[in-house]
Amino acid sequence: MTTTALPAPGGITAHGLARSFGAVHAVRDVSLTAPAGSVTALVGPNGSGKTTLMLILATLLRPDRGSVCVAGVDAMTDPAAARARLGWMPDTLGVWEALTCRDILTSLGRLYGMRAADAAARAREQLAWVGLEEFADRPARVLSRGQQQRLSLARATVHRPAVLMLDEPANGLDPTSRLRLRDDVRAMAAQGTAVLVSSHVLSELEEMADRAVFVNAGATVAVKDLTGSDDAAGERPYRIAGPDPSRLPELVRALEARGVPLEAGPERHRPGVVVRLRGEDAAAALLADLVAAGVPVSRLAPEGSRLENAYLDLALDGGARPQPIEGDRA
Amino acid sequence: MSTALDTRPTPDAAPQDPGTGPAGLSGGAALRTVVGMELRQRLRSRGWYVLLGLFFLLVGAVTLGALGLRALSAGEMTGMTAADQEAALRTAGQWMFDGVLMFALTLALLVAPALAANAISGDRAGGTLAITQVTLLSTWQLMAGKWLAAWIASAAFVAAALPWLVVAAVVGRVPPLYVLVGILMILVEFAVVTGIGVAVSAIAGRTLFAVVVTYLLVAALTIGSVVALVLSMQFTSMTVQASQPEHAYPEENLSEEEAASMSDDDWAAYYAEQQRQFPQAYDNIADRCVGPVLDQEVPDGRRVAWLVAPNPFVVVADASPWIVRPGGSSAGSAPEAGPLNWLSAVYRQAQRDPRASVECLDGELRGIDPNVMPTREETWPMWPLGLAMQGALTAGLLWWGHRRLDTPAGQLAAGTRVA
Repeated sequence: MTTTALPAPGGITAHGLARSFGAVHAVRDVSLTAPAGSVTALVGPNGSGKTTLMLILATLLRPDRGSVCVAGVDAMTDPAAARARLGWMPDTLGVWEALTCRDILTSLGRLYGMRAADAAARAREQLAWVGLEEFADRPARVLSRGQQQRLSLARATVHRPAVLMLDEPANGLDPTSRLRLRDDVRAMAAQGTAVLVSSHVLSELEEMADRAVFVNAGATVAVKDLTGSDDAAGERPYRIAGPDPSRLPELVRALEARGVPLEAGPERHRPGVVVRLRGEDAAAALLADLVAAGVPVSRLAPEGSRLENAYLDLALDGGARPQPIEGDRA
Repeated sequence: MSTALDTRPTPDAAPQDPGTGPAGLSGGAALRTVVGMELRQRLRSRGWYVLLGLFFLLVGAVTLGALGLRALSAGEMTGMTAADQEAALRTAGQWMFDGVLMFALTLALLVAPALAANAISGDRAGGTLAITQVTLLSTWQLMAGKWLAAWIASAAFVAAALPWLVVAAVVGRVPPLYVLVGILMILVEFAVVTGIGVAVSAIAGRTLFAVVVTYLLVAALTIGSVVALVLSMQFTSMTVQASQPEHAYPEENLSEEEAASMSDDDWAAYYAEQQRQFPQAYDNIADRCVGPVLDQEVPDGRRVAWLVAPNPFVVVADASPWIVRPGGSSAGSAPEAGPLNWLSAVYRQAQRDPRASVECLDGELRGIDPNVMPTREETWPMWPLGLAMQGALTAGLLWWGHRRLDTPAGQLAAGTRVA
């Protein structure tokens, strides 16, 4: 398949991107790949340069340095060819309020070079796909936020792009719409589309993403694979709790006796303590040990999502993890 | 894997198969699509049609009302011959045609900037601009489409006024060429104004700012050009040597008693008789030069006459052929048909050597009629220059707008987001 020197002809490859606005260095040094057939999450705190990066990747903004390759096309030298291959859904939905849903999809199809009949057929197909057929001939302003977002997705994919970029797609969506979005995105990736999703709602990214690219202060800081099983040697937090909150000190003493450092204490609606363990085996061993010692344990589960932990480990917003507590030694 | 997927109306996701990418976008399809979207998005509102309807009714009321008044007054004048009445009606028709044309131009100058200046900045504010910019649409195609849509919208005002223009033209026996040139030229002026609006809309970050700047530019063309001409003529005067012209009237051969007993009607009859007997004494032409020959400052517009050329009204007026009515009082090819001809002549006056209209130049009686307008032959047409100046302004702004709008964007205006 790979006939060129480009590593991922089907997806996005960006190298050494930098872009500043006057004295503000929005993007300083970002390199990322979003391979075809998978969903790549772009994770970073507010102001980390995610949107600027998305604009560069969408060929709207010229980087000061670096290169972008979209589906095997150099987006800097041939933006038109790159645009034919990429779909982009900005965080502001941007709906033509007076146009009907059908008008919007047909017109955009035309702007992607489709013939009138093809564009009309494609608009029908897309309306059916996002379930907006009953709104086809109504102005887009009557749509709810979730429906507008679905229309926006249909619009971004009207030309069957090989690369799809979604900027904060789940902003303001209800849980049902979010599940739908996740399924749509997964379905497209399953058919070979390279999907890049930016968000700071980590739980939702975790549901749909195969990989995560972390950016902070305008630079790529880490890339994490989310498909494989847990890294055996990797440390991650677990929350341990017993059935009776008043017996927490007993649990804390038992953990300290075994040299397991405490990381966090009980929170509202979240009893027990948080400890860091190396992998599932360590967790199983600790549980067996505690039960054998007669310490009642009703819950031992990974705390937070993997993406969330990875995010917090990187201390992306400059803050630290929640401070370890000294334990309740009352 | 989830219930949401299972309840999908069309679980078939095959349509999202990534393709190889569509073929190129032809210029015609691009323009048609952008114009179609723009017209449907911005003009598919009841307010727009109400405005057009009101314009139609207003122009109609003015046209019919003025013609009716004219016909009534013509009928009341018992002394008028049939030929006189027809001439009066014809003049009224000519004035109505010019009036409706200038009214349509005025209204379009008021409406077009608001329409055009919203075209791109409105999309930017609504978040739809970036969405069209990631398609195969080029920046020039986008701007051309927006421009064409704004022009079509403003041309709707001409369409609404067209029935009344035809009525006025028929009543006034306005030459077909004059009608054609008038309509063509205001359509050209709409293109200029909407072009400026779309360009400013591309340059400016905010819609309100774009609208205000466009109005200021249109005001500069319409009012500013006239003010500039009037002001600059104060500084471009020339010095001539001339004595004082004087009008000589025949002596009033009336005794004091007779004069005291005359009523107003008697006086009118008396002066009418005097004018008949001594026509030369009662014209506007001086009869003798008196006093010493002294230096006089007279305004000289020859070097600054071009300032008024880009005025849209002057362009339309100056491009219109001059109509010479049979039986007109003035000699030569001076116009006296309607306001447009008059406007053209007034501004062409600035092109003349001021010495040509100085009576008693070097103390010599020249017999100049101050009412005689300059002829077409002794002046140069201003409208091609005006169009060229307007075209240069519009093209410059469009080029600047294109630079601001083109993607991938190199520079961003302060405070703007491309998405």
